[in-house]
Formats: sequence, structure tokens, C-alpha cells
Amino acid sequence: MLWKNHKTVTTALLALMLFAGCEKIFMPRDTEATPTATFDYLWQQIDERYSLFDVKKVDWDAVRDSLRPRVYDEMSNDSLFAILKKMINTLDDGHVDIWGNYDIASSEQIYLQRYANSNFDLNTVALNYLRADHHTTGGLVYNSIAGGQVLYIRYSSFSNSASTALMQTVINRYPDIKGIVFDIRQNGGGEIQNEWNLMALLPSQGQLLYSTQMKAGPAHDDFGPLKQVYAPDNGDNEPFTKPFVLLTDRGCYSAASSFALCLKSYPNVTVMGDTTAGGLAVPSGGALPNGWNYRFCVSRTIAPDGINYEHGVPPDQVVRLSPAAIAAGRDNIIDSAATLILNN
Amino acid sequence: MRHLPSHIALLIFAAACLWPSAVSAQEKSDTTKLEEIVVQHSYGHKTTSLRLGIGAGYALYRDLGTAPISFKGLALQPVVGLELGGMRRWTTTVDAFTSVAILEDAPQPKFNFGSFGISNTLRFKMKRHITSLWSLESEDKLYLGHNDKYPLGQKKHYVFFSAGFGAANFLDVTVNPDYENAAAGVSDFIGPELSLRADLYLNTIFNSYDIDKADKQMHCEIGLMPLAAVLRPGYSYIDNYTAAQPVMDALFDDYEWHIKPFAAIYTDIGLDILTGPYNRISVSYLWTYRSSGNSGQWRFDHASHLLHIDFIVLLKSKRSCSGRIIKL
Repeated sequence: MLWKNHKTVTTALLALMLFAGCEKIFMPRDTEATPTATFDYLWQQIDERYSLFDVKKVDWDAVRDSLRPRVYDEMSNDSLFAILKKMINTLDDGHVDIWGNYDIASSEQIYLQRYANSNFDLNTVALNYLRADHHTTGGLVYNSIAGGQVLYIRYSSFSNSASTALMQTVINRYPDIKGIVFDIRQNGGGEIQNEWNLMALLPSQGQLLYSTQMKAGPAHDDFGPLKQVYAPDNGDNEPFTKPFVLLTDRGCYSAASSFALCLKSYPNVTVMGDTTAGGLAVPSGGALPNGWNYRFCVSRTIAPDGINYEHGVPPDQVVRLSPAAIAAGRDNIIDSAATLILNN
Repeated sequence: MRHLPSHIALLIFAAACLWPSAVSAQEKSDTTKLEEIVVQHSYGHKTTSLRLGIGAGYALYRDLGTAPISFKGLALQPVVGLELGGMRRWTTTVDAFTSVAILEDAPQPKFNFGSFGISNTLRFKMKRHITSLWSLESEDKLYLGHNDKYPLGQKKHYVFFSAGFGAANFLDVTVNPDYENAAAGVSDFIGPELSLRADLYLNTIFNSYDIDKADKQMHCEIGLMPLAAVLRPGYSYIDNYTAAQPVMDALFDDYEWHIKPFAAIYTDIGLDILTGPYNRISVSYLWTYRSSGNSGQWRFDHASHLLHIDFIVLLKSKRSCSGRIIKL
């Protein structure tokens, strides 16, 4: 009998504890930090978890087949980084990045379209529309234009504060305006909550804004259930029912694109300018075996018309910035928006 | 290096088990002179004790939902607990541990102060002796809770074993701002626990009612969670938060429960120094490990190695027996 002798029990307990105290017995090893393991890990993570292969039209196996032979364990970090950058650039997605201690690799295409196709001239806006006597309330910078009949609001980042109360304060300052020009050109996104705060002041009819679903399995078309997202209630807020023109360009990404998509469902809103840069899906992040960080999208967003505008939300009215207007100190997109409001 | 504390602790415990046998020979000659009594009683004291302490050491987290590498760092673990009972009865303990670890990512360390892990443990345990007190010097056994022949005033060394059962909840939160939307990962384990414990009483002197005059005790305990319900992030890892709903509604939207056999194990080995009746200072090495295994979407592993110093302070003591001493 085991219990007859304390030494037997003590020995058994000590033997058990010898095996314990070392989690390595139970845990599989960490993935090796080699360039080949790092490449394989990133490729596989994207293969199994990335949510936008259907709109990106990328042959992901072909990407691996073309780049994997160039990876070997003795290669430098710089060389590996360059190859991983090539890999993620095939996705043309501003939400797919890798970064280490010394460099960041982002989509070159998104960068190019943001600056090469910019529909925005900061100096013109700052000098002739916001002007030196502008106001700043939270992240909202604003002034009246068109002889005081139109309120121009510049919102440069969804990371800047834009609560419903702040927006209400801005509107209350101009009780006699005929409409608002809300400028989010070159706005790279930020907090999704700020979209909601701003929408709470637009007249809600409980309309469908978009549907979203998350990746739910390793196959490229494995998705979870669709989740419908509807316009937020106005609650105690008095909705702004006058014309509201949203200005967009190819620099609008992520939350800014999502905001444009949502506002297209409001009856008093006109989206004007250029197609946004897209980026409607939500990214998730992590670390690679060698310690570098990554992120890529794990959801997809479907507009009420059934289309995934991941590559950009088109405006209701296309207006491109005219070099001649800029040379004359005018922003013809803002002027067009003001005219639309005044003619309403 | 991680193995060292556990092995040193084991060596100390093993040495302590063997040492009394060596020294007992010289004491034996005196034992016959000592008075022997029979203590007729049912149980000893009912006690309520408070446990306060802190541990320091090393913690490791690995969440395959975000990275295939372990994050390790310095951990501090305060503990507060309540102990109800006495040595000869069911002892009930409720302990709450919270550890905070500042983590470095491997294998290219870049000290990131924003990266950390928090682990909360809530443990309820009832334990009871399953053997008598075994003398380490002779074949003597003392049967707890019965009419026993106690060598009054004699210093002896005893070991006894107890088994415990209870339940525990482990909540682990890892935070790494570099992961952006996946910056926070939560894991929760809940399930029953079983434990086996050996207590070594050194220099035990009996009084009329109890054996609490032992001036040192060593203990060695191993416990495991045979079955756990584990909450972990689902396939997408992040919640489908849209701002259209309250944050709390979206929280854990993507999380899934699964069942994991043998999800957690711990060992506790240490020395208790009695500073007064029922009061003691416990210095122990505590190892814990838990894993969500491969049955969920993303495996999570957590281990910690902590050197603890805990103060067990008697809050309340009530003598529950009516002892009758019969001199032989």
C-alpha cells in the first residue's frame, strides 16, 4: 500500500514536482526566429486570416512561389524586410503593414494615390477658407464662408476629438447658416467612435449603413455571420437637417472611408470630390517569429447595395481640384460644395 | 536558469526530510524520560487566519493568436487570502493572487514598457489530512482526531499528507499596444482543482491539545485542474466592434468557450516559520502553468516562477474541543 510508508509518498511527490516546475515539458517550442520561419509564418497567417482576397484578386500561392526561393536563413534583416515588403505590397492594402525597430513597410500604392492624386491644397484652405480668425473646437477647425451663409469645417483626422457635444457647439455658433461643408480630405482615419459621434447629429431614419463580417476560418471565403449596422438614433440631439456636403479624396482612408460610406445613406448629405482610398475592413495585429510586428485585415464591410468598397467609396459628385483655381487662391471643390448648398 | 529555483527548493525539502533521521538517534535516549499522556478530544482549535504576501519572479505568456513567440518578464504577485480551520479538520482557504508582469518580446528584445501581462487567480480549496502523522525517527504514527498517545514535551519530526479539492478561476490579460486592435488578449480558465500536500513538522512539541508548537514546517504541494472551461478569442481574435453598440456589448463578442482537460498545474514548496500560536511566515517557491491547449482557436500558455513571502496571521481562534487529559 502506498500510504503505508511516508517515504514512498514523499518520493512520489518529489518525483512529481521534479517534472513540474518546468513548463517546457508541456509547451511546444516557440517558432524559430529564422528568416525562413518568419516568411512562412507571415505568409500562412495572411493566407488563413486575411479577409480581402476576394476583392484583391491576388494569387497568394503564386506570391509565395515567387518570393520564397529568395529567402534563406543566412540573409540579413534588411534583405528579409525587403522581401516581406514585396509580399505585402501585392495586397495593395493600407491596413497591411510590417514594422521592426528601424523601418515600417506599408502599401506603396496607397501612399502614391494619397499624394499623387491629392485633391487638397492645405495653404489655399488655410489662407482663404479657414483664415486667421478661424475657431478650433476639439478636432474641428472651422469658419464661415460664402458671405457667412455656409459653415466650413475641416476635420483632418478621426484620431482627433469630435464628440457630439463639440459638433453641436460648432453648429450652435452659426444658427443662420444654410448648410455645412465638412472637409475630410487627406484624413487617414482613426477612431471609429468619432464617426458615430458626428453621425448622431444627422437626421437618422434608422437606415442600414453597412454590414460587416469577420473571418471565421482558414479558407479564403470562411466568414462569420453578417452583422447589420444602422444609423444611430439622434436621441436628445436636434438633428441638422440642412444640406451637408462631405468632401473626400484619395487620401481618405479607413475610418474616413467608412464615414463617407455611412453618410451616403443620409438624405441631406452629398459626398463630393474624389473616390476615397478605401480601407473599410478592420485590421488585427501581432508579432512575427523574429519579433517584428504586423497587421492585416480580418473583416469585410458590405455596403447597402451589396458592394464591398474596399478599394474606395465613390463620391456622389465627382469634382477634382483645379490647378488654375489653386493658382487663383481658390479651392474649386469647396466652392462647388458652397454653391450646391446655396442653390438648394 | 528557469529550472534552478524549483530544483533548489526540492533539494532543500529532500534534505529536510532526511535530516531528522540523522539527528533523531541522539534524541531517542531522552524520549523514555518524557511524560506521556493521552489526550481525549475530538478536534483542536477552530481558527480564522489572514494571509497577506507578495511574490516576485518571472512570468511567461504566449498567445498563438497574436504571436508564435513567448513574452517574458519580471512579475510581482501580491496575494490576499483567508484560511479557515485547523490542522486536524477540514481547512478551507480562499486566496486571491494578482500578478503583474512587464514583458519583453523575444527574440529581438525591445524593451516596451507598454507591454505587460496581468494574471488573476481566485482559488477556493478544502483540504483534509489523508494520513496520520508519521514520525521520521521511528515507526510511530499519530492518528489525528482520535484518542492518541502524545509524547508531551518531546521534540519530534513528523510528516503527514493531505488532499484537497476546490475550484479556481484564472484570468489572464495580456496587453501589447503594438498589436493595435488586438492589443488586449483575455483568457479565462475556470474549473475544479485537486491537490496533494505533504507537511513536514520539525521539532514538534505537543501541548495538551495540539501540535502547534512545531517551530518550523516545510510543505510541498502539487495541484492540478483536471478539467477547465476556457474562454479564448475566436478565429478573428478581435471583436467586431462597430460603435453602433455599447462597448460592453461588443466586448468578448468573438470569444468562445471550450473544454480543456488538465488545463492547469501548480507546485508550491516552502518553509513556514512559526512566529506565534497559529501565526507564521511562509517562504515558498510557487510555480504555475496553464494552457488552453489546441482545442480552442488559438493556444494560450502562461507560466510563472515566483518566490513568495506570505504572512499568515491569526484573526480568530476558538477552542472547539473539551479535552480531558489522562496521565499514565
